[in-house]
Amino acid sequence: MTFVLAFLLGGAFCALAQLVFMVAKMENPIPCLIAFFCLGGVLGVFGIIPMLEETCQAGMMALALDPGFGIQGGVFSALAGNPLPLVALLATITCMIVMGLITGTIASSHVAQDQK
Amino acid sequence: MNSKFSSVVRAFLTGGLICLAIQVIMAALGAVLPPELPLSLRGAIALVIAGAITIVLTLSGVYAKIADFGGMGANLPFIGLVPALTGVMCDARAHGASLGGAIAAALKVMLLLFGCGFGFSLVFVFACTALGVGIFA
Repeated sequence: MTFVLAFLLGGAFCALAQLVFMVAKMENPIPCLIAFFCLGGVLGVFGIIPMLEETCQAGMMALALDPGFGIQGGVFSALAGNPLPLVALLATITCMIVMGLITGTIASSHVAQDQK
Repeated sequence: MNSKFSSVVRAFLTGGLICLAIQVIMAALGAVLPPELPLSLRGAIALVIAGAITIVLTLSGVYAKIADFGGMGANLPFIGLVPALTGVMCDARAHGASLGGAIAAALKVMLLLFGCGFGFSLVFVFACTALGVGIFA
């Protein structure tokens, strides 16, 4: 059941993002990502994201909305004396950025060679 | 109108399938990792594994095809950061930047994304909590 819910929720948010992307006539997905990041922060404050995380699991956690709530929960939990969620969130993001930079370095070396 | 509707459906399918794939990784991790590990930590590990798979997909050019098909469906999932950074770096290199310049361009985009997202989320949560609204109040 979780698999179906993950598919449906993940798909629904992506469809919404695609709709926003087209209606706002954006050229570049980054502004749309920032908007959904902030939406995650708003939904997180009202407890919607943790509720969806429990029922749909990866359908929520895999999306870029989740860190918006993750940073809030992480900071509050760190203030309460448990820094583990904050550390886990920052480590995940750092891993993603490092993996992106490695991939970019490999892929862009072909671009640079093609130019020569 | 029709093509717009079909691109929303394609984003739905792509995003849903990516989430489903990460859910499968999470389920597999659940069998391996100790059960007392919190769900969010299991999700984080699954995301990193999915990111490593995305490296292969990006380098082989498969992810670019997925992004062509799915639009935001391929960009909104967190693993979309890997191809997004690759795209920024390739663009910078194609415009004649050095490797260091390309890395700086990629980091600038990440700083914008996480700076705006985290900044807004934190300001919003502290404002709401100060007003006594929301789950953290």
